[in-house]
Amino acid sequence: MQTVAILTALFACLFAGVPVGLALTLMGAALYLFKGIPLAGIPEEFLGSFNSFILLAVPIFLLTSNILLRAGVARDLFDAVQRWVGGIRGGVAVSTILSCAIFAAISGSSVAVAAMIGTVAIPEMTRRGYNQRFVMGTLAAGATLGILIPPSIPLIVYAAVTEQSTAAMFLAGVGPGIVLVGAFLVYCVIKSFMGGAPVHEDSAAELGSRWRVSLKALPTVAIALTMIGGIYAGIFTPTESAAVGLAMTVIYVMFLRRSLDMRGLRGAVVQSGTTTANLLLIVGGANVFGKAILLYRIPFDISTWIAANITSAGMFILVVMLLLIVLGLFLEGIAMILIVLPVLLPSLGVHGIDPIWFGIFFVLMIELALISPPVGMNLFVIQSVARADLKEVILGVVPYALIMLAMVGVLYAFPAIVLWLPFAS
Amino acid sequence: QERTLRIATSVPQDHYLTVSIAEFADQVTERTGGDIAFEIYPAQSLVTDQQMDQAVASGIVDIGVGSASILAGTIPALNIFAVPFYFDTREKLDNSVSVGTPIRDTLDAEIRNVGLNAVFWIPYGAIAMVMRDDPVRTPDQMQGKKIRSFGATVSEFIESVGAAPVVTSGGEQFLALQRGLVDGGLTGWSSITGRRLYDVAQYVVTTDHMYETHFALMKQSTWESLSPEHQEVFREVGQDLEGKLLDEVFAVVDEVKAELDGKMEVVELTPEEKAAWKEATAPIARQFVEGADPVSVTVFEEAEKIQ
Amino acid sequence: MPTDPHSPPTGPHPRLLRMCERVSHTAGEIGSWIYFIIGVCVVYEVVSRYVFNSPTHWVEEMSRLGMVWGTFLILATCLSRRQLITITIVSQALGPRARFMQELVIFVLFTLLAGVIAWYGIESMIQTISVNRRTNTTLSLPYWIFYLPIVLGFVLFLLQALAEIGAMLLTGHRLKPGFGQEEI
Ligand code: NA
Ligand code: NA
Repeated sequence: MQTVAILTALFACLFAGVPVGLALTLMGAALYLFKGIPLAGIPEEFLGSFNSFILLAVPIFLLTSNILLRAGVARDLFDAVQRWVGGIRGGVAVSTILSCAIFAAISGSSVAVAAMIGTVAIPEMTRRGYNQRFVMGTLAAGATLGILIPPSIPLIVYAAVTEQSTAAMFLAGVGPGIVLVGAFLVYCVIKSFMGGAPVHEDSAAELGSRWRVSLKALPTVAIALTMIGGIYAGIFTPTESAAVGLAMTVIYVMFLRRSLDMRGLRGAVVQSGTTTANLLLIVGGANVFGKAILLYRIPFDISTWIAANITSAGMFILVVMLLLIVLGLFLEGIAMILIVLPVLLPSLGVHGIDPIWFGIFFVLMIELALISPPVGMNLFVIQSVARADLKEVILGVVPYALIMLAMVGVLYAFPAIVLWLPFAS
Repeated sequence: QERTLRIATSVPQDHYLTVSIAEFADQVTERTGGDIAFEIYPAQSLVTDQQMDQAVASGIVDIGVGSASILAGTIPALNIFAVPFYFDTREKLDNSVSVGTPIRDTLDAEIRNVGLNAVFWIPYGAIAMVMRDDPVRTPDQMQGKKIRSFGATVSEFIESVGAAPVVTSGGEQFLALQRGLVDGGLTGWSSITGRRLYDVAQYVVTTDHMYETHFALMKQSTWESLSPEHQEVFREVGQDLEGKLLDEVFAVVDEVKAELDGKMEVVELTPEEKAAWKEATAPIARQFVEGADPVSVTVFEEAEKIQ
Repeated sequence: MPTDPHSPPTGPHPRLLRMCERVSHTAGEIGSWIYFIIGVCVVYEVVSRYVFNSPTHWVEEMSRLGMVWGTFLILATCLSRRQLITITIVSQALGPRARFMQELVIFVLFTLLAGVIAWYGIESMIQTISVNRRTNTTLSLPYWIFYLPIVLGFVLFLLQALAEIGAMLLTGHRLKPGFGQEEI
């Protein structure tokens, strides 16, 4: 009863338009007061949340994405991929997914990937006469790979909340990322042959020599490989990988490519700074709320209820999936992690669900949230880049959304796709 | 008159420290006839280890289980237990951490000086060194190696033998070893089995060079709000447990070693090898006293006496 | 996408609000550059570890300290730019009158929250100074330098929220678009 009342109050606050970080902190504060805990716990909790070497990776990864976006690097990469696969029917759609995947390996955010690839791929596909819905769906969905393929900001936050190793979470995202890219590609080819793409593609040769064009994309690929390869090889921690990626990016775009000046850098720095603080306010608020509900033993009540009423792991995942689909209609991904996880964490043990697997599952659901209306940031970004009708974008992502849901089933049936890499020596 | 006190720990429900404080709580409740009850919040559900002393001071929790090495930031004299090989036998410990011995009483007074009260000291045990690929026996084999560290004094130890300390959180320890980010790491015995470090490191070297203790910390004013009878119960229960737990701490190391059989090679150092380590790390003792505060100097002089 | 972060506050803002915004935005810019500088320090740490085989003693802790300073300094600018993640589905359906009231209530709540955090932040800071609480690291930093940014950040936040309330009451309408959705 108490549990229901507290959670209802929280969601009432959220839907009344109170910013998520504020709503969480206020609810937490009220619960502290009722239990007689001094409110000194709140600044303490904020300090504890921000005083973290792990979360430091967040602003750095965001900064790298912002710099790449402003420097217009996506053009080089997209052209290079085009030069290899652009000639076949549906080749531009294939290039789009592949470019999204490669940029996902540098960017920790999906919106940045959508903006980056969207600006170059949408005009190209439209010019060649691709089906408009198909174009926008491919981009909106392809960009969500940004948070599944490492680095990934939601995975960092998940690791911080569950005290899993960030490096393990990153490595766990690689396998599912590749499988999802594969599934998207298969759909793209099928859809293209069913009329999504023109029968005759432009010759890819007009872009110039294959190797010369590829050479221009090489730095981007090198940065991506250094970042994830460095973590896999144990050369550096995820936070260090973020910093090394940032340094390589700054040197590349400011000194070699010369496509970003100090003003551009300043803009990127301030933008990623405010985005980080915005997220961390929620992290702090969620920690206050998370501690407060522990005082009322809510997570344990819920896990007890789940143990008594939900009989199998499959059932549990299904219920959580429905919950996350509904929340994902309205809510931002990090906020979803931070609100749901403290409540559900003890329940994972009930059916022996691996927390690393659950994190990847969770991120898949966040990907879905990014492309589900009414609030799906990737939909908005693609809509504004393409200057199209939002409804068209939404219809375009439907097949991809179904693929993602199917992906949950695949990961459930073959957990090794997730768990193999982090534990392979 | 009933009273409920909140206890916080930073380790899981079934961890030795939480179990110990729970036993303390049960006994106090029983012996006060239910006057004092407790609620336990384990696994940093209420407070993390880094914030424990502050949380006790602000009244967020009534009793916080915190480690000497973290409190040592504020009370440098507590670093005495990190001076290598000064507290490596049961006898030395009996002469330094038991109530009534000079070191214990000095440190207790020092803790009271910062407004806290160590209701009871929870023995924790020695620190061991896991090595990924090399069965290190002597300090000169440490040259140039990267070793996981978790604090200032641990880093000093690592550097004194020519190795490089890499600060890594407990959670990243496994992967840091697995991926070879570090060649080895210093860690508590229970972490070796608890975090399955035997899957990623082949050797554990029993340097047993430093002793770690934890405290059940109360705010001085909360302590004084207890009746003298209740305070007496707290003290008695604490002292009873301390002796028992110290035995247990030594037993646990043997249990861990038995559990590691076949999973990891335990490198037991010979007395000569241990002497080499002692010599190599001797500068740390000098560093501890040079320019130290009077309390640290007092504690160090007492520690010299029990060697 | 957020609007250009460099655009100075424009429009018919009351002077007090404009002044507050200038301070908030400056603090926000400083905080953002702190993040960037930590990034550089972490690269230095990697280089130091591999090229000179000597990990530093200061990067890990100074990075965390920078993270704390950076984040608290940026918070007020997030409020000023309305860059706070919010569920907007209901707000968008409200009429101008109701939205005005809703936003006013939110600012009052923010004021309360910021006041409480700043107040207890000061209390904790004084407490740490009185016992000379320090970190248990090689640098042995005094803890008050971790609490100071909490106080600064939330005092700034408090002033910003109060200025927004003042401006709203003075002009009788909302001065900026509502809190938005930001995703990553
Ligand atoms: Na990514
Ligand atoms: Na959505």
